[in-house]
Amino acid sequence: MRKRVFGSIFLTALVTLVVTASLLLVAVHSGLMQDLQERLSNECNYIAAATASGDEQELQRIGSVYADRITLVGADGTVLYDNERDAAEMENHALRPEIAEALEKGVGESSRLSDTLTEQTYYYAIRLTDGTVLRVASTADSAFGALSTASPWIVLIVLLALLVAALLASWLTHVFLEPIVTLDLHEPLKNDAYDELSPLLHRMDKQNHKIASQLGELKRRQAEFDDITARMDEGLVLFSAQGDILFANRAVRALFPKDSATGGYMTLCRDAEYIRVVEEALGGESAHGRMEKDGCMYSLTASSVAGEGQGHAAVLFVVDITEREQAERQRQEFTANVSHELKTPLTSIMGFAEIMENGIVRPEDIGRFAGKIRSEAMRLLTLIEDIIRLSRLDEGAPVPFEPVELAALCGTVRDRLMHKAAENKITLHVKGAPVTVSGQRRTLEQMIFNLADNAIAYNKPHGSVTLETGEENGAPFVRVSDTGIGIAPADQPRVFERFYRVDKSHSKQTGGTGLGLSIVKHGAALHHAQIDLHSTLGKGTEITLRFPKAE
Amino acid sequence: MRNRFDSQLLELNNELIAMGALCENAIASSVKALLGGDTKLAASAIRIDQEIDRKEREIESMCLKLLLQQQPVASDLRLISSVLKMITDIERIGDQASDIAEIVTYLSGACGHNAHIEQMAQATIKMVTDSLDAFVRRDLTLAWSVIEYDDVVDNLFAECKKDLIAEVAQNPGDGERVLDILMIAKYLERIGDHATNIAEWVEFSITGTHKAQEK
Repeated sequence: MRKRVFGSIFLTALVTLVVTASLLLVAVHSGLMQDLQERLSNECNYIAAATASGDEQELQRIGSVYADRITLVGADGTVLYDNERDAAEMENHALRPEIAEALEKGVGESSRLSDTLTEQTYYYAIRLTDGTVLRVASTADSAFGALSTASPWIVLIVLLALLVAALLASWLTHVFLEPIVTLDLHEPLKNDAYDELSPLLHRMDKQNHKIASQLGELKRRQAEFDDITARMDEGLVLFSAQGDILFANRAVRALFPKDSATGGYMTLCRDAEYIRVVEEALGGESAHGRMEKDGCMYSLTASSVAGEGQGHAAVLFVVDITEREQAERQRQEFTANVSHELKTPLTSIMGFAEIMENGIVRPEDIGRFAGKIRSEAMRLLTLIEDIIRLSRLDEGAPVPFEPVELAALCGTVRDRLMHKAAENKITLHVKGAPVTVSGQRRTLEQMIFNLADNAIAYNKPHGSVTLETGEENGAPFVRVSDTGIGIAPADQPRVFERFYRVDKSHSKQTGGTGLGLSIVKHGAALHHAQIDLHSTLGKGTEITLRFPKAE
Repeated sequence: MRNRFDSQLLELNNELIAMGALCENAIASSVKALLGGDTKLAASAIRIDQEIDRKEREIESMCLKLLLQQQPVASDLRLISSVLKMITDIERIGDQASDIAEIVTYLSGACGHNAHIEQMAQATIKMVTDSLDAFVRRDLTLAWSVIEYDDVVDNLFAECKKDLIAEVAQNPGDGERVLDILMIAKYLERIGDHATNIAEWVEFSITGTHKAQEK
């Protein structure tokens, strides 16, 4: 723009200058020529008057002092006199336009350019009374001639003019463009610029607002997206069609903490399954897979996104399925265990009943057999009761909480277990201060009962079991300790699982259902209590239930 | 033109990572086969090794083409030349993984409960993974840690050898099996050395100096 404005101003100045100069030259030159012609005609008339009737001597006298050229031509065209050249040598002038004109009309004039075009000669002729023609001629520079003589000056003037024009043009350009150059495009309407620009500026203002609002909207959406993806527990990765990672959310960055997650998809992870899933998605197909990393299982789900260009972008979801898998496995184990545990007593019952039905049993043995059937049925019932209890705890059935005094509860449990303890030659103690917690009486009793029952079942002969209640740092607790066989460290985390048994071969002997500690665990969760287990193999076990501080 | 070169370099980078991933896969398979006595996994390790060999040739020709056509300088040249060296080591690791897998297929019953072999296997896997991670992230400290970690593997190899000597002294009839396990231990130790080489080339591609020059 600057260039163009400068160019036009400069060109205008230049053209104006040249045109003016040439017109001026022509005008001045033609004026001069006119003066010359007038002077010549006057002179000619004077000379004619002075040398009336062709007085050749008079003419010679005038001619010798006269600056211009004087020629006298006879009526037939022969040159009679010339003050600059020898008349005898000159050719016949009858055909010269001014002579011919003068001969015919009395007065004639003409002008001729020299061969070099730089000079112009004017002729003025008068027919004298004797028929001869007097001609006066004067030579002056032609327009070209004038130009060429003045050329150094002209060049100088033109250069000067050009310089001035250039300076002016540049200054003008600066002045004209200043308001445009300094336009504040962020706030177009606050500019003090040309009126012609105001539609543009208004439009710009409108578009600025539009852009700002759209940008705001985009930013808001981006923030929303970031927020959502950052809160997600699932990992989310976006890949470009070239396989570069465009985006990876917080969960992914936490999963692969040492990776910067930029560049190709393989910079994130080099697991074979991951690579397969991502490559299939980039190839345009959805893919699923499972990846193991640091002991956890992740499910990978990738879908391809058809882009505008060639190739497919891809989205990858990474979901931690460790817990789900574990829960699934536990559920399967539980189902298998339940069916097994239910089947064993039933098989016995079926067997005894079948023998009795076939009449193989002697009448005196029937009582013993019936007793066995009853005890197996009893076991079945206990098991089913345990399962029901457990499923109630699982459901979290809404039983109201009430204040329960734990020491008294321990006393009840002791009374219930006294017989069994005596059978196993085990002494049962209850000690500690009375302490009250808020909870479900039946569940709490069941929990303490199960713990004490286990303590008796897995004890050594002449061992002891102690039930202790009290408060530690204001938090109520129940501790059941025994002098029994203890639990191996490897088994300790698993004893609370359903149907888990440390020694599988002894289940029949000790008669448990394998659900006792599981009920304790669920009961503890219901009461927000914490279970601490300390056990040494061969020395004994100590399980403490710590209840939350009373409010 | 330069744009194309950049994308070619990126492709080379990705190809090397892919080759590394294959190699990790091969070791993981053969080690799993070794510890679990699973011949199916051993077969897959051998199959992956063939793929690694193909990849090596591919990357090699890519490197040569880049060197000839683009005449790279400075860090680009370092990257290409170190890739050219690294693929040799990665390919050797793949070979050794497949060698281990081969031994596992006729090593009746797993390697026994040799704790040191297991530790060695885990340590070499860690070294290979770390050396590749160092390349992926251009992580100089990680590369150094790999180079230092080689001593751990070497010590484990010595321990392993002691175990096997004791074993063969106790039970001379078991000589062949013991020798096979010794071979496996040696292969693992070599894998560790190759991982060290990779780490050294990673260091070269970043800093321009190679361990061999410093001494």
